[in-house]
Amino acid sequence: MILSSKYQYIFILILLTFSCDLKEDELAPEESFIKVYDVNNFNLDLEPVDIIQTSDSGYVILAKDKDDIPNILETNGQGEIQSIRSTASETGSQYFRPIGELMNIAGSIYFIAMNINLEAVLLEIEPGRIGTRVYSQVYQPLAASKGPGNEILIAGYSSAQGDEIVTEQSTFYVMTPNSSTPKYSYNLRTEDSFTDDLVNSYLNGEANFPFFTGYIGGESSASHYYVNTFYNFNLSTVFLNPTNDPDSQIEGSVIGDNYAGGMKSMLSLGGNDFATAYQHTNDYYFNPLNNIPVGEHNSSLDSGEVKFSEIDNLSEVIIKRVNIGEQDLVIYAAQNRRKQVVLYSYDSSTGSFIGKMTLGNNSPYEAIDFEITNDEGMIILAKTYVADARFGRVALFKLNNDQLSPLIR
Amino acid sequence: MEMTRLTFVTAMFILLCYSPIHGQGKYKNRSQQRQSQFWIGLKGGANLTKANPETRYSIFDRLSGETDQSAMKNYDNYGSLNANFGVVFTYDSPFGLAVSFQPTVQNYTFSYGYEFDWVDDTNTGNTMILNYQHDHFFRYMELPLFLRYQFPLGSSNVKGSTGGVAGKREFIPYIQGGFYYSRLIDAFKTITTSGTDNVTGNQANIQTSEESFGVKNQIMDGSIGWIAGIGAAYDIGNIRVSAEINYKSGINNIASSQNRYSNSNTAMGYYDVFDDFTLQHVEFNLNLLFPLKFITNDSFNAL
Repeated sequence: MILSSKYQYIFILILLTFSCDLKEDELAPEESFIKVYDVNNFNLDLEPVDIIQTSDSGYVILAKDKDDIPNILETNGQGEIQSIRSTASETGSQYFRPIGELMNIAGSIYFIAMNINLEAVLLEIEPGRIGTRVYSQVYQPLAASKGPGNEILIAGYSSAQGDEIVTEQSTFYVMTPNSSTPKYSYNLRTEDSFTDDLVNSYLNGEANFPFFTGYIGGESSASHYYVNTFYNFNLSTVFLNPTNDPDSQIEGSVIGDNYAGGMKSMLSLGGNDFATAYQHTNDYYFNPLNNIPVGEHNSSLDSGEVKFSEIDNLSEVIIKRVNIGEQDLVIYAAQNRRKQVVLYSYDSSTGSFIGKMTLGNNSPYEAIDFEITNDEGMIILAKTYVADARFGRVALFKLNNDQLSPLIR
Repeated sequence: MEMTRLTFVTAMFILLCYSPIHGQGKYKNRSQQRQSQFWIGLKGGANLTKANPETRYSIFDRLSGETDQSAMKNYDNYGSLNANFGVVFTYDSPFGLAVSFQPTVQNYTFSYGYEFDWVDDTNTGNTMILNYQHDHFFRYMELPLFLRYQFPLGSSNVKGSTGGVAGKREFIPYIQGGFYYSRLIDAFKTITTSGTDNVTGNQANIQTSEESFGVKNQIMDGSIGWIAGIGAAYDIGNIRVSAEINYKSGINNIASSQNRYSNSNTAMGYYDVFDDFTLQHVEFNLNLLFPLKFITNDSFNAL
């Protein structure tokens, strides 16, 4: 059959139309998924703590149950659970209160928890076993993060009993995975006996304070460390010099408003530049490019901060600097009042706002952690509540690069 | 189960078609029997749909209890009726073969359900069960092309050749097969949530709620498939009425992998994403056809 050229065009057009809507660019299951990890037991709430991608593109999720016992969920690249590991059965000892973050140091994955003596313990997640190292000097660990090189930064708290007086002090330690002796240790006097009660209620889960640690510097060494903790009657961010000389340890601080206001989250962008989130009671203020003179003692709220009324009053704020493609971004993750995960993206060099994105609907989703994945997508760890919002569970969102477009300029 | 039902219906229909013509002799004059004709008409009917999952996907991942939640959707196959309407263009060749093009608006419904349960391990009487029922409504513009064979019948079934429609007979059974391309016009689902809350040991029903969501983005725009069916036509005056039953089977997966998780209402609120699936249908149609060629005398020879 010979068709006239007009009909040939129409025929080809029809064929093209048909083939287009029958086939699409298939998305591989590991590119994008949503998972909610459920247990059908009333008494097994799982609260996510942190997530890290492994070298084989799977994920390790640190979670804790109702009794604050660490659980380690290992998934493959599609988010399917491969194993659930309990520190109790693999180490034969009881550990509690795992604290973020999961740290990849020289290819091994570590996190900090505490033993029954309230001492910090470094746990190493290895295939088939969980290694432990007790940091007996670090009492009541409150926050931990990876420092430069193989350093681990831990904020703690202790009441030192002297001859007649009790000294309440926040502590900060720079540790390493292969030694129980601190590289640097700092004692920061709270000057306030009330902080004992505050730390107790924090460890009991009755109160929440934004304890965190961090550093200014490159990948191998720090020019300053910082810790957000109780110091000098306030919740303050204290800048510390890398030294063990007690007279020159404290460089400066950002002073909070007693215990009702202060830094919620902070990320060093180099020098005196920080991306900050400040919380004062129920109000949140973000500044993606905040110049804080680290050698001075300043109040924490400044005029450059923008109030984010949509952030839920119990939200965590996670700030990370990431590279997506060629772009160097600062991303804030939080929970909004609609109980969704909300991500805000900023240019890291100018601090200008790029875009935002929400995840979740109908059920509550609370941002816990996020990471850029090997395939330039993003994995987002969240807490959700199932069964008419009754039981807390771990939720995972994986987005591919295309789906991140609202956050990219 | 549905296969048995389908086989039974098909068998009954074949019997129905053939019973009046048993023992009838061969027709005498083939030229009266077989002449060409163009028909145009309307069709309408009802269909039943089955969704056939291939690769399963789920958001809920159970770490305890019944762990295999990936196969948790229970599909209700051929469970509810819906309607289809269209137009018919048919060419009857003089050799018993006919070609028919029938653009049709197809409304399909299918459903699946799943259940989540939780139990208090310190008091197993305390349970909580949530049921989710998903009813889907898909509307397609379907473009099927049929090739049909009409069985020859005995002379007693042939009307006089004076006047009327060429090749006119009273009763014409036929078999047909073909392919279709269909394009999605609309798709939505209604999710009904119900459950039982035994948390205190006393049973309380959870308030039943119903929500509807558009899911067109989660479904591929196009679908292709094959059709096989049987039918019979009956001529009343110049009008031809036919009844037929068709089985249709989709060939391509119609769930979009790109947008599988992008409906935040269904995915994040109800932990629901589509499996990769194809659709199968059994449909019944009544056709009303009007001839385009009339002949006024016996010597007229149609194409």
